[in-house]
Amino acid sequence: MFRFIFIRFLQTIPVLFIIAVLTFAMSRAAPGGPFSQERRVSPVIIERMNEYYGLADPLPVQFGNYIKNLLRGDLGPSYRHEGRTVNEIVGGSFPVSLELGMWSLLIALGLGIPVGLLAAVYRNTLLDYVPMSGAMMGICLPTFVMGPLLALVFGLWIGWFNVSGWHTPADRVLPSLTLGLYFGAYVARLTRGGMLEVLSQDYIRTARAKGVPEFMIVYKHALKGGLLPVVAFLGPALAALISGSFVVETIFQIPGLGRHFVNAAFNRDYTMVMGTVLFYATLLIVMNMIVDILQVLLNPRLKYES
Amino acid sequence: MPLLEVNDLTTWFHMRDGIVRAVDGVSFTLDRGETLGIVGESGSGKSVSCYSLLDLIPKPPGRIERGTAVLGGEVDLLRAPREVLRRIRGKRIAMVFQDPMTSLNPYLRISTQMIEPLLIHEGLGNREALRRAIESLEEVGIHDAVRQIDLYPHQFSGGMRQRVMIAMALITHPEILIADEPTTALDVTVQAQILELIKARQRELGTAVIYVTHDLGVIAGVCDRVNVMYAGTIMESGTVDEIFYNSAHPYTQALQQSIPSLHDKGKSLYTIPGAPPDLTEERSGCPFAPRCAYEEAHCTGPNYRGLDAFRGRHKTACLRVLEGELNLKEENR
Ligand SMILES: Nc1ncnc2c1ncn2[C@@H]1O[C@H](COP(=O)(O)OP(=O)(O)OP(=O)(O)O)[C@@H](O)[C@H]1O
Ligand SMILES: [Mg+2]
Repeated sequence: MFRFIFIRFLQTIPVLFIIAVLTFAMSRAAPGGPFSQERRVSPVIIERMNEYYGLADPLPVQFGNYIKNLLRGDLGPSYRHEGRTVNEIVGGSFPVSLELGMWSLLIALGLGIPVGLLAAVYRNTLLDYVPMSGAMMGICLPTFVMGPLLALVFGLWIGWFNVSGWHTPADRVLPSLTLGLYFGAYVARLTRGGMLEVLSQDYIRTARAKGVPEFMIVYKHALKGGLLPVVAFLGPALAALISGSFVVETIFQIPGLGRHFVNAAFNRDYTMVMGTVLFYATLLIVMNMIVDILQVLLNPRLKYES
Repeated sequence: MPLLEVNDLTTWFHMRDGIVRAVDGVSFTLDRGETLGIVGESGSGKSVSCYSLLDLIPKPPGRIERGTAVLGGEVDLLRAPREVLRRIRGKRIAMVFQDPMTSLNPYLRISTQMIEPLLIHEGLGNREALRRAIESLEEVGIHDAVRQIDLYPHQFSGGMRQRVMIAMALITHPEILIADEPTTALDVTVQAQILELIKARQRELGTAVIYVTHDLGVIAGVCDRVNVMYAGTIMESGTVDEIFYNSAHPYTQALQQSIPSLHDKGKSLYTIPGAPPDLTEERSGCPFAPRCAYEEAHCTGPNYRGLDAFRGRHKTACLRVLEGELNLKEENR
């Protein structure tokens, strides 16, 4: 088990390096620089600023310096947020994204798993058809439709919540719902599929033949195997929940990392782009690793092979 | 009074492209402690008739259309409320399935699965149940059961798993054990061991066993009486001797001729001519008639009466044998 984790950890290093190279190359390939703006700035000033930040050096030297700082955990200064480092910005805005992600995850699992279970147990009845059509709609509705819709109904018309912002606890509700319902729809479908698969297995028939009560069959004999697809989905989903929330963050004006990332890309804020990409990549790798470990723990057949 | 009395059991599958008449009017009895074999070609409805007794067929598409199955003269299994039937499953009637590789839950330890019937049906505590489970594993010849019981199914070989299945089925000392091809998935040496094991446990516990198989050799070795099934109905029913040496149905004979035997080496294998029956077709008269060497017009006519007494408890569905037109013993001389 520890060997497995250690090997997975070693594998991440080259992956992160390649991501760093690619991001660096692509951000530099985009026309313009961090200091080009609509307002004309005198070329002398731009030159001085480039020199100050080391942007006049040849690219390989710049990259080398970047990596050197990176190894010390320093993501560099932001070129657009004066006097603030990328570390500070990520550190300040990531907890917001994380909180949003966690609430959404809670909604997605808390709603998706029971709905999927019910649909599987009562397959081909109304308890299956109605929630599953809802889930299909949830998947088809992109968050940039769902978000404004929720804001319109519950913010403007009914007036229960603020339309945007991230100040009071109530402000968490609409954005978390927007993201959570979307992922919950996936979770519901995966749960249903996984449970149906397991419930048709021979060993479920064995359990029935033993006189195991129906709810114990679902809970004790089927659930572990039935939830494996959900667990496998959790890794990418978690990463997507935390990193991919920039649409929702933009809709609801939430000061999360996603918005900073999008703005940084538009502004050619090189260090900020590099920093967020590497941060997200690490996050994704860690999440997937956790999910792999979780799967091994759930499935005894894997446990003894690794 | 027989322990189990099945009458006119009829189970159909309602598929999109027609009704599959998997079991069509099956009647038989089972006495205490006796061993009944059910034999027949693949698809003849052996498994479905057994699963119907415990309501284990998938519904839909399956449906039990008619019939009764009275256990101990008191409960009709086919009409019992779910809760009543659940208390019978695993307690009074237990099952062992064909494929031991897929019939145990891969996510649960052997111990968890073994003690379940005791927790459910006998209200034992965990500790006492575990003790009994270890005991019954030892009784089916699993060494070091104290340690083995904590393993997962995938850590066992096929033969070992089938031993576990048998131990688990017998742990509550059921009155009836239904074994659906318990040895088909195992290699020959293990097959013999498993059969021997079931026989031994049966003697000790006085369990009645229903053996489902398409292997006539198994039947001859372990059964008291045999039902020969074809196309969802019983063609012939009798003691092993009656079935093997005094067969009263052409299908039973054809089935026997298609066993590869050792002395006929070199001779080409006999196969029953014609195609297996189409169960979606509604039929009148004998279902075996189209493939039967002795078929006559009235076999499929209105006089066909299905399984009927031939001599005492020896029953056959062959109209010509019943009418005394056909003497299979003479024919084969
Ligand atoms: N779940 C199901 N849905 C539809 N048809 C089924 C189902 N289960 C069984 N059948 C049909 O019922 C018929 C009898 O099947 P059954 O499993 O009882 O055969 P069997 O005699 O046990 O054969 P085998 O020796 O192959 O196990 C077959 O024609 C099969 O196609
Ligand atoms: Mg079968």
